[in-house]
Amino acid sequence: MDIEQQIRQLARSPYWLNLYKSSKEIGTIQLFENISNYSGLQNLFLFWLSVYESLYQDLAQQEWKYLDEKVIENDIRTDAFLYWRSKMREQDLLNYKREQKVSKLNFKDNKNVSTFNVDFN
Amino acid sequence: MSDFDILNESMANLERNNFDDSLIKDNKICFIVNENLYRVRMPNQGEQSLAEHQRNLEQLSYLKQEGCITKNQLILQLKNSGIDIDKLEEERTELTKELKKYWFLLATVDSTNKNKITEYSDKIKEIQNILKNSVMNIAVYLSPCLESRLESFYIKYMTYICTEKQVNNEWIKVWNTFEDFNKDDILGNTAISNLTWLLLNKR
Repeated sequence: MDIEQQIRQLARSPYWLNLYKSSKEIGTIQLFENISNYSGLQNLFLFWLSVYESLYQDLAQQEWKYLDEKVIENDIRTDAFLYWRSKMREQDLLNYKREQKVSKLNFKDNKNVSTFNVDFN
Repeated sequence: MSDFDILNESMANLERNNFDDSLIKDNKICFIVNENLYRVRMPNQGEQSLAEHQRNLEQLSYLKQEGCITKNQLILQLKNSGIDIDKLEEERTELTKELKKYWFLLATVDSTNKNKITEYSDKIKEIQNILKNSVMNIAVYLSPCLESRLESFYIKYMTYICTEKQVNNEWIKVWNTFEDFNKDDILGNTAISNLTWLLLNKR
């Protein structure tokens, strides 16, 4: 098992996830013995703690059809899901911006309007 | 020992270690060589400034040396001898696109569909291995250039400063001078490997 796999395994463990959550809520709880000058490995660990926390939140809220416990336990499937989720969020943002554009235009019937970009150059 | 070997040995060493949370509990890594306990620790700001200063001095010295070559010059020379770094980089970009394609496919497979999960996961592992080898090969090709040599010098200097040995329950600096460090191949290389991991993504 390589070092990143091991760090990810630790980061998704209930012990560390609970400690991480508590340290955010209660400022006096420390994750590490050092309080500054984090090593690269510690930074990587903090990154994965935040990722797994967000994944478990999404799972609890049943936000995504393809996210389940088995995905989170498998690094390759997690990577794939994180990429797919980022693309879905990009798409949502794009749709939202498009809708905002339409709603700012004063049409009689906004529902029957489509927008597109025109390059005038 | 080539850079490629050091990198491989460094990865193997850490993978051999029975990993627990000691590697992330504080900003130090302990290791044993010849039954003595050593550690590498994160440098403080003063030590980082000192290492950067020494690297700048080293740069001036390298520039005066015969055969000193910058990254861009080396890429050009390699191209003339049939090794096209730009093409290798392009291949990496294409492979990354391929990887993303398989991530997208795998992400939308239901957990009950084990065959598809295995098929896509195997493909992803295969692409990731090719990418890893490609990155290491490019690093080895470019290792003689000024930029790589300076980076290597910086890590070595930092290792010289930040490696300590436990003597009577006290941590003391291992080498008195940088020259002493350079002579100590076995311990030096092990310490470099550990410090490289400790600094991971911080350079």
